[in-house]
Amino acid sequence: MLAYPTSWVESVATTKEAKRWLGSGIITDDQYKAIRARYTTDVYHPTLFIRIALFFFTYLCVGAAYGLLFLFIDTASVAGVSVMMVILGAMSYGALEGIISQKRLYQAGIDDALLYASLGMMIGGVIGLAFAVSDDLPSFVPCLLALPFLVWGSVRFADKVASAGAFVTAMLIPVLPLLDAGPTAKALTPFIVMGLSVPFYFITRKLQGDARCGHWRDCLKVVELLSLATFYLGGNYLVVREMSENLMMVHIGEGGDIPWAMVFYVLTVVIPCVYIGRGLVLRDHILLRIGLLAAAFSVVTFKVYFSLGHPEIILTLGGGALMLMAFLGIRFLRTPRNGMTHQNLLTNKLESLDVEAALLAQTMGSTPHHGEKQFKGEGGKFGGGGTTGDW
Amino acid sequence: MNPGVLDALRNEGLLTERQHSLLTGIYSQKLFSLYYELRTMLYLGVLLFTTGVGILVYLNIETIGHQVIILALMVLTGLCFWYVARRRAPYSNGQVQSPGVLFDYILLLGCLLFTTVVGYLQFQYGLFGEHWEFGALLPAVACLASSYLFDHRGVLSIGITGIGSWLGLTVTPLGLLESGQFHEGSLIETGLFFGLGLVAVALLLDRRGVKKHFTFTYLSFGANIFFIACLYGLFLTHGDAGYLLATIAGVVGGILYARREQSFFFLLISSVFGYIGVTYMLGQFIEDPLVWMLYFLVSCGGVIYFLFHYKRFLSR
Repeated sequence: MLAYPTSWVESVATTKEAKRWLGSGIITDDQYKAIRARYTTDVYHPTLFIRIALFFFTYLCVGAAYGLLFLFIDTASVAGVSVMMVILGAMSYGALEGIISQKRLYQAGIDDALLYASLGMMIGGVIGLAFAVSDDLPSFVPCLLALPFLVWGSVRFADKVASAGAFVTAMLIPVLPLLDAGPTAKALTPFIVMGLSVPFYFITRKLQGDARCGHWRDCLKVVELLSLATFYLGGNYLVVREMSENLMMVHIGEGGDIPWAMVFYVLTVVIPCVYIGRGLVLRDHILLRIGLLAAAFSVVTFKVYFSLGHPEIILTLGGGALMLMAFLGIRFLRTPRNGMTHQNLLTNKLESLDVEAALLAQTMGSTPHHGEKQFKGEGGKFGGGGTTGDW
Repeated sequence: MNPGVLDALRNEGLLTERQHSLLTGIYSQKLFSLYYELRTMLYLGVLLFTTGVGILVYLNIETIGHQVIILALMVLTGLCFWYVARRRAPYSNGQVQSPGVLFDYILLLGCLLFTTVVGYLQFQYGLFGEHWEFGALLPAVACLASSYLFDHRGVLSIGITGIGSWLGLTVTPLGLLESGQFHEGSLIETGLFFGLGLVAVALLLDRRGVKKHFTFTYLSFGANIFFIACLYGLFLTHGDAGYLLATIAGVVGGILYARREQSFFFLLISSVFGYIGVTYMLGQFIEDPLVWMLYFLVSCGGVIYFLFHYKRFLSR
């Protein structure tokens, strides 16, 4: 089913993991070399940066090729353009399959770009054709048409973006019609979203345990993560309220509230706690991290509707509380408890890329700048203070 | 990770029994690391706290509480630096292992609070009098000094952005791309020389063997600032030869460096920025869409070919 021979996938995955073992000091340099030699392949699988560059240039190249062909085609009718798009998408797909087997590419940027280009063209073309046939299609039809392509992209190429797209479209197909339905159906929508997320979660969990699905584990993880997110967001008060007002045109008067508001308040609090608790008990990073994110979002939710009007105090206290919690956590796990530790067990490949430094510079590096803006009002001597753009 | 692979590696003698059981423990989550979760919490805590305090100080100017707040902040800043100074390992030109997770974040907190305190003192008491720009320079220098004393790349990058903002530049990774700062001609040259300066510092210190693990931080800031300033220069002057030459020189330098250091990152940014520069220059002459399409087709094909064979290129 997979376009890439499994021997490639296994070799690349094993040497990558072995590199992490080496970086974490678990194996010696000689052992790493031996493992690399054992799992050597002639597959073209470049490092992240080269993959990004190849993706960028391939995408541009394919786009130019499409543009060139469109220059010679009469693009007057929607149907004509749509047919052309499907044909171009199919041609790109053929090129993708060919280039993987001929040039032995594996997640090399070129294949990623060709996959997205061909899926995009085919999906766009098919949707265009559907609308050329009938102007008055129900809103879920584009999702229904896109889904098979996205599923194919996930299954055949184990592509995580395609998997995410497939999950989102699959969720939208039953949910979109509800937005135009009667008031009872509208009020039930959040629960339907939550209910739909549950089978996705348990099925992807089960499949991850199956050895035959090993090559798709990352795709399954993406869907698992998204299903946890939709389950939480489906019950989150802020999401439900904003969606009701903006998408379903439910009018909420002064002092009024959405139907079953109390239920959503409770869900907003309980779901993150359950995620974090279960994440710690089951030792599940995905649950734990989604739980922490959800907890942060729950805090924002309550801030929006029950603000005390002093964001700076909340920020200061919240930041202090977070630091204290982390400090206590680190103290508590100073000696590993029950296999739980605050030490890093396996280094992540992103660590060597200085991601943390870039993040710090982005989020905190501009601090002096705020001060400077304040001074500018006082002194008024310095014209080019960073953000002026009066050219 | 497929558990079968671990077994195979052990059976073939590539992993010892101990390594096998350790790795099996890690992958089966018997050993469970909260490293990233706790670090993220610390990081967010510092971020929220310093942001909150920064606003708090300015909102409470002119009230009775503000002197108390600023005094508390000064004490807290002092405590942070006292803690890291007490715990730090002696300075070395090489990489110094951090004494603990908390150490890194307490240093970060200290540096950020110091920035707030200096800014406030200048604002309220005119600490530097007419030379208020020292209010931006001093914290940046303190961050740079701390990054060397306590070996902290995050604080180094804050120091670099601080120096940039003292020069009037926003050099945070996203700020470089989005802000319209280079619409002003004079800032383009500032950016160009600041970028070059950072590259020069990086290469000089690297050659002297001073904190070689800082080189990448300096170089990536320097190269990006340099290239973006060059490109803005090109765009604003509609293809001034000087900026074109600077861009080309930068691309050549970047690629040579990438080859020497086997660095994919510099190969990536040199080729992307160079491509944008060349394409813009051609844009001055090409108008026909057909020619454009052919240009993209051929040139991208060329770059893909080049990158596809980068291994041969880098190892030559």
